[in-house]
Amino acid sequence: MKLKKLTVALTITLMSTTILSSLNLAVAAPSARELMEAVNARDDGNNGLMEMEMILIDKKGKQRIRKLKKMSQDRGDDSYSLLFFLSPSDVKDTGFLTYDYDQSGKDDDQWLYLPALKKTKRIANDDKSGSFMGSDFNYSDMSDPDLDDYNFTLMKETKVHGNEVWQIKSVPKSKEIIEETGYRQSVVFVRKDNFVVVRAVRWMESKGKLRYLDLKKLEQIDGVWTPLETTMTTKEGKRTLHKTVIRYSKVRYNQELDESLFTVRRLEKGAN
Amino acid sequence: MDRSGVERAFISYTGGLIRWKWFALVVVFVLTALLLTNLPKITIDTSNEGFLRADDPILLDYNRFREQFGREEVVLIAMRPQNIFAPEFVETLKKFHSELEEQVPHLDEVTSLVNVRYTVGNESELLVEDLMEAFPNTPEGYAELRRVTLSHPFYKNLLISEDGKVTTLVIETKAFSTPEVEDPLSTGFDDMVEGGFDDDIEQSSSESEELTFLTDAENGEVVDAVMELVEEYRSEEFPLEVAGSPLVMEILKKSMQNDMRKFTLSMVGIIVIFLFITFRRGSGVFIPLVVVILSLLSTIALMAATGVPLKLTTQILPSFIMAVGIGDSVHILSIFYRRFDQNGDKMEAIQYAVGHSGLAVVMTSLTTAAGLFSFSTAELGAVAELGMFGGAGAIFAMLFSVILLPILLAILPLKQRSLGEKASSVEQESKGVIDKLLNGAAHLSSNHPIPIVFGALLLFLVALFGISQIQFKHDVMTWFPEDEPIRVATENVDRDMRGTISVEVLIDSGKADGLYNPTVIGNLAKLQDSLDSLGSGDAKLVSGKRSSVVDILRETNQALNENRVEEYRVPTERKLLAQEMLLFENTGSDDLEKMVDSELRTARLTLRLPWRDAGAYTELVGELQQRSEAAFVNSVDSSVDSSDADSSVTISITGLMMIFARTLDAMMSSMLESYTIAAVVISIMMILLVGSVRLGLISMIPNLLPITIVLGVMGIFGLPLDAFTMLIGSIALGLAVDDTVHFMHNFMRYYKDSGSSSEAIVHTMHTAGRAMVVTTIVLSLGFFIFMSSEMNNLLNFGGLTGLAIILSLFADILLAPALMTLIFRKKLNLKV
Repeated sequence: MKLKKLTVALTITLMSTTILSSLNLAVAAPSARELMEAVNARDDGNNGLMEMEMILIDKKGKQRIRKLKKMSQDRGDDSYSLLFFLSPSDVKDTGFLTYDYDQSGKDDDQWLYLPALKKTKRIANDDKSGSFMGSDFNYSDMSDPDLDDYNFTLMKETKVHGNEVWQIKSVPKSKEIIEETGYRQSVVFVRKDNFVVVRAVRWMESKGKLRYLDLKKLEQIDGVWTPLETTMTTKEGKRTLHKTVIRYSKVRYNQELDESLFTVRRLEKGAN
Repeated sequence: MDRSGVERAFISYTGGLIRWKWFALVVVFVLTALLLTNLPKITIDTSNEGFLRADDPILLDYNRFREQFGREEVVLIAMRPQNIFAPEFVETLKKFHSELEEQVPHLDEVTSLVNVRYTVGNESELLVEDLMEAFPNTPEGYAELRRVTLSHPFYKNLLISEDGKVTTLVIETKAFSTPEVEDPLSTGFDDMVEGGFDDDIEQSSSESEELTFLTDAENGEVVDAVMELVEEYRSEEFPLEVAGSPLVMEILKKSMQNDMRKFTLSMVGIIVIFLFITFRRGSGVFIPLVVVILSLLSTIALMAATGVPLKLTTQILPSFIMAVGIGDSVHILSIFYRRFDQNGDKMEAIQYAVGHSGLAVVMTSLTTAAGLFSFSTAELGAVAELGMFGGAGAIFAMLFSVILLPILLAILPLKQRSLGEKASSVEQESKGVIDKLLNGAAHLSSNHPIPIVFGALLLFLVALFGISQIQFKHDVMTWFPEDEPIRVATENVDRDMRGTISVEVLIDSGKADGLYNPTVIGNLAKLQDSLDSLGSGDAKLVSGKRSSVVDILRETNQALNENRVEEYRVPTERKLLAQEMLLFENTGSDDLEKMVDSELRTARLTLRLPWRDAGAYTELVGELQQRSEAAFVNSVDSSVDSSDADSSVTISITGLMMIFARTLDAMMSSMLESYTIAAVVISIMMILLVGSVRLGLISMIPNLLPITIVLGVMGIFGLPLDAFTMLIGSIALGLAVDDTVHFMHNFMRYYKDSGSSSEAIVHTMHTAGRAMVVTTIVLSLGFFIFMSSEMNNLLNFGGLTGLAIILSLFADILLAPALMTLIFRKKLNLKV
């Protein structure tokens, strides 16, 4: 598998770097870009089936809870996913089918099914700066970044929740990328032992607003490091504007998911 | 009141003060310096809501609204090019738009035809994007852009005029002031203590911190940045006009800063000239100037220390405090110099002067302060503040006059002058004029008291008629000159887009997800459509843009139904409503969160109305409330279960229009109360001073007449009572009474000596009369200065208050002696 190879290669690079630097020889440390490649290449599971709970918390602390069912499948470097609302009941069975293409410049495909209208519409939307299901996560937060669009710098090595991390800054190369992702720049914290992004600070396109991603619960399921609880907080100055908690449960990987699941026809059948 | 006892007390106090002069000086210096360290903290607030008290319920509603939905005051840029849909204009607009987005600070959003939401659907697709991105840069593309823009109901009156000739760009700013977070990496996570990532201490985020709404200074930064770009882009092909209340605020602030500087300097100039003519001594100019400037600075420092910003009303404080404060020094100094020049004993002269004038200084200061303090309970916050701090200024002036002034006299080396060399020819001449005037007045009033009293009565009656014609008004826009660009722009936008002022109707469905109820949404749609005008007859106001979540739902519904025109409607089924909103949330637009609260419980319906006098709005508030409530009753939809019935819907109205309306209401209810308090308090003081209830009350007649006349003049000439002119009564009363105090004080004394009212009048005229004329000149000049402002409100206020002060002088040298003549002539006859 491609990603495993990369991880191995990187581990070797790192080890050799450590050894060589201890010998006082000048050798290139792993570049930030290389680290980010490893992050993207990390095994995040395939043929997954899980339930997702999304808690939207407003500035007054009022909560709205949405429950969804999620299925996903990797096809080559593209990933397909199918999402259904389970609750609240008014939106039950509303579904989203998404094809997230790896190829740079190729827009994702998304279809939406509204059970009340019994209609499926392809949503033509070429940017990912919009909110994911009304949450504090943008669509761009839900998929891996195209690394060619950014300049990365390794800021320092530090610790988060007691784990060693790299602190990496990523700056979009163009204004278009800022508009497409909704973020001016980010600082991400990547755990050294498993390449999971455990924290991130993102500067929103709207000046003065920041988003804080914080991974609260991470577990290994079927050998895959799975973020079970993640919060995203939107802040302006010290003021919290809104916050979203996403929790995953009943996570299973390597399920027998037929390719026909990820089709419009299946979308129109609802969650069941 | 035992006058000689008070006099003795002042003499012995001054003796002590002189003995401990260095110590006293240090104490005064330290205390003053401590107070003045607050000066740099002073802020300015010219906001529309700044007129109201911080705890005004209407303002609290408005604040809650702003917390939920953001700031509703927007900067509007209107453009009337040859052709809005010509490629050159479109390209410039795009550039202008994106530069605004980049360069304007505290920005929330810029909306124009460039980026307005465009939702369109066909058989299989749904497209939500920025309007101008939807069409190619081809002739066909521009034609299509034109067709869509002109036919889209949501854009009409929001971004494009009904005739398609004017387009606007709307700049929304943040509602709150956001101090920069110094290191966002180390403070943003909720479990983080400042300084590092290593601590896993759970710490609930402190949401209790005070939120500050965007400050005047920040609003200024927004306006400056916008105007800079506007100037850069403005051309014949790209004509720009700017309107909106953030700009109004900023212009008011700038003119206020200019005016304050001008008023203060002019007042210092007037005082210097006046003091020089009066005393012809360096110390006679220097010492009073120190007293009034310190009084002024202390007052401003007190405002800064208590966190009260300078507002449109309090901008008159500098010149006001100086005009009022100078009298105290003059009364003491004129007696001091005469005494000192006579006997050469400086310390004795100081004691004598303070002993002689101390009571008068205290009394006149207290009456002035009372006139001002009468406003401190006003419902209108900005007026209450002027009352409080104006009164405080009068008290500061009194304190510095009876404490610092004697110390300075005792410490500074002063030269005795022989009495002969003092008077110059100019002085003699001016004295001659004043004396002639006073002699004439004394003669007239003691020989023809009855015609004078009748004349006064006649004036009073005419004035009463005038007062019946008087109108309250609160319309900041009319304060500007008619050709001021902001006024012109506002009128133009009101004409083209039908409105610059917003009113917000909040529809609270009573429970979370209540907006999924199709009955509620259906009623909201009906209400929105029906509110095309408010009021009737002359008071009718046609409303411009009306917007709410209904627009979003209609658009989405149409797009989901293959763009069929008849589908531009709100869904009538609960699930579909919920799903369309969810869909919209997922389209990348955050417009929904400006239309509904996050619980989907409360919807916001915004109406734009033309800028009018607040009086026009007060009449509409009730109607709007009633019509809105009516739209949501008796509308239980039988197709949904009864728990969905929207009988629990509550309506509240807020927005800038409400702030204006409330300001006017508060003004009207405050004025009568303040005038009454001032009149009662000052009457009591007069009674105490003259030692007789009857005389005290009679002495109020010459005090109240000038104010009655001025109000009558306003009514007859159609000058409105506004936040400024409403102050005239109490301020003029507080000042006019000074002259009466001096007149009565002296008259009683001389009457006791001579037993003849006419003799007492002549004596009084020759002693107190002169001081009365001179202080009247200075005081009225202090107010006439305001007429040099470009702002109509200050012009009216200054002119009318100055007039009131001059009338007060005439009332005190004609009416007061005439009344005394009538009373005491009779008494004397009885005795004889």
